[in-house]
Amino acid sequence: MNLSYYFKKRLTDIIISFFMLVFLFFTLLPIGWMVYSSLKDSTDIAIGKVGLRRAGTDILLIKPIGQELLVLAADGGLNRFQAADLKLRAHYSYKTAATSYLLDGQYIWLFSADKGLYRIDQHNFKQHQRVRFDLPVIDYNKVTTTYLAKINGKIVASLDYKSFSGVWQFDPATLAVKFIREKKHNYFPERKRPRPLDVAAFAGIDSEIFVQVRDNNVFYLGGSSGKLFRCDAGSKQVLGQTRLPNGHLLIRFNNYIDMWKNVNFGLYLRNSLIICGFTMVFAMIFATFAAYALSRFRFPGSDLFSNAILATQMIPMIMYLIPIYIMFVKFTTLTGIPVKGTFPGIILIYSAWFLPFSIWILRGFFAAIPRELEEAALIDGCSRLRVFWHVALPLAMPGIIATGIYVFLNAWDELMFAWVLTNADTMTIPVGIRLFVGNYQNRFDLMMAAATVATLPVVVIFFLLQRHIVRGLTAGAVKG
Amino acid sequence: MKAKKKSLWAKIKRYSFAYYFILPTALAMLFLHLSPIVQGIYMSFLKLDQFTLQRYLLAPFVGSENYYKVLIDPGSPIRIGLFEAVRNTLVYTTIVTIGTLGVGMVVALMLNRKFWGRRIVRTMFLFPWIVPTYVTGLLWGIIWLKQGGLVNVMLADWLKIIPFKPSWLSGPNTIWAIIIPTIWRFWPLSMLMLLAGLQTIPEELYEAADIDGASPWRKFWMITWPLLRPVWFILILFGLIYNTYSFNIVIMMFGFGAGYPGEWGDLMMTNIFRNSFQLWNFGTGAATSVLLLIVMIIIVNIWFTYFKRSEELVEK
Repeated sequence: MNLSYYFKKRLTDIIISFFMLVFLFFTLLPIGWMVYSSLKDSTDIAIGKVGLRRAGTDILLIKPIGQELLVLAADGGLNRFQAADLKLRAHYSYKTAATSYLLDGQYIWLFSADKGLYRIDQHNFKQHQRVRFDLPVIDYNKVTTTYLAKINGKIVASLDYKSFSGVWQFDPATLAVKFIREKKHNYFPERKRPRPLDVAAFAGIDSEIFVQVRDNNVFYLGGSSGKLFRCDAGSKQVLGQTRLPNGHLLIRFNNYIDMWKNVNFGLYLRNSLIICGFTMVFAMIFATFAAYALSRFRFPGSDLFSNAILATQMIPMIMYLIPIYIMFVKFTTLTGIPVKGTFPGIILIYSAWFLPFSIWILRGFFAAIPRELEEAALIDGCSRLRVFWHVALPLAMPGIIATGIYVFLNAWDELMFAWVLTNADTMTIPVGIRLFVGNYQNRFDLMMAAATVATLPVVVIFFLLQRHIVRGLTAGAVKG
Repeated sequence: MKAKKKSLWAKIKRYSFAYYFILPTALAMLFLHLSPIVQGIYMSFLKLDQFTLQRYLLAPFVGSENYYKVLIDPGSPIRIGLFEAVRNTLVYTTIVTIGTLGVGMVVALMLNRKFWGRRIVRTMFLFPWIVPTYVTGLLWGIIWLKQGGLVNVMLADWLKIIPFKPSWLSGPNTIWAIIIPTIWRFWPLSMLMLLAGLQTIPEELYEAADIDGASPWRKFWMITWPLLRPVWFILILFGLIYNTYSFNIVIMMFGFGAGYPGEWGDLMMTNIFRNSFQLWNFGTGAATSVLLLIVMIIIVNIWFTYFKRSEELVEK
């Protein structure tokens, strides 16, 4: 009987733990989704493609070399096949975007929008040289085409991006870079767009074909998604076909760089840190004094004061907004000191706004400190201020820290006041994000990146000071 | 009379130390709480719109016209959408307050056992609560998307519970689209408070109930719930106030910070904000907030008296 009791108890325990973990998973799922979406493509988010996209392996270049076949693909993938049976001999991927190739003797030149120019050994696919130069591009995902050619013994490269029309010229011997403005059309007169070839003569080929190479009596056809065909030149029959290895997963860390460049996030982050930090400090200083006075003395007006503190919690924030806004404007017109849109203005308002709540919480902490300690210090001849400073304050410090963090988190969260009372230079993260989100309504990826970055500082603060917050808040709640 | 005054003065002198301590706070509250509130109440009697905003408190005094417009006048433009906002706020506040408390209670009970990794799990559960509310609104705005949102992908594509993808951000579904994220964001706080409360309940009570052969359900209702009274009193009180004045999540979810939440997603705060800052009807906006404040004071007072009375009942 005893055994069955313990067995039952253990079983319920396991079942509860199981449900708890399932619930934990679903609780954290939205946050995971946020971070995951921030690494995805915007259209993928919109259409509901859950998996990450892979780089396209469209075949850009085929070259038969003796018994072997060199196949170069759009994802930066270099492949060598056995010509007779299309068996993969060697594969290496440079994981590039918008790639273009140029064969030059024993080398392959690879030019890409995101990683620049490589000179690659044709035999072992090792990087022979990498040419570093500054790309003028902020969003390489928007670069659709790159150009690469050898003109007058020099390697010339360019790309399509907005109205960019420059050309880079490399000396193959010294690899010196020369940038030429406004000359793209001279070097690359035609817009290079992969145009499907007419392959109606070949039976049994249903995919788009971009490359067609003849080697004696055999045709090699390369097409979209890495499909490679080997056909007889006479009868136009498909002799064999294969596919290139999959392209790399497109994890777009670039969304963060993009977002950072579009949003001026650094400024918002700085403003938020300044405003929330000072708010926390000021609110804590004043709240500590007031809470100590309220918890220790019953002076005339103390009841009125504590009731007023509770009453402020009931007032909707929006009632303050217009009067404070107009008070700020009037103050500036009267004295000439700017208040609206400055740090002191918003810090003042925030500190005042969070004061009552902080006092209310801190009062519980001070009330929990035994009076006997302070009385003993008073009898020993300490002044009231010394007692406060040396006895009460250190004992209440965990509570003050917890409340301070709570104030910081709440100030970090505040949108309405900041919306009205800050300007372009003092804008905090919520206002900045709201503005950004209004302007980029279909860039879900950037939105999620911004959301992730806005959450990150708070998460760091929380995990560093987690123990204080939990202890402080719960202590306040149970006693309050 | 004189003696009384003197004694008051003496008292004040005696406690001068305390007065110095509360002086900065008192000044801040006088200038930044009391003064704006008085101005706000006075504003609700003025005809304050974009033409008279320059004159502010010298704007034409119209007495109770704003209140008439908000409460009675059937043809006033202010009343468009007001009923919906009131209804939504009521539904939203009730469900969110109960929901946060309920979910928090269940998880607190789950966590109030001894198992390996308890602290880690508790910290993980707190995660939604650190996500800022504007991020919550933004994030769930994407989770509710019709085509690519996580909810529709899960329900329609993976689990195939529903045959089509419903639209969450328009129509009557909207109210759930704002309730669920709010519960998601705020239940960890209730959980934390309730867990702390649970840990103060002495183990002996449960052991005694075990000996008497009480069922777990009965133990919960007779021991746990009554002893958590102070905690849930606070949680409901703050839940009511905070959720009635909820703003960030709704404003960030619809139209990504710029749009109208629709007649099933509009709350009192967004309604007043739109009236004041987009339609420039500051007078009626102030009148609506004053009415809201009065309702809030009444509700909070009812809650206080109810709590005090039930406390007395318990003590008896």
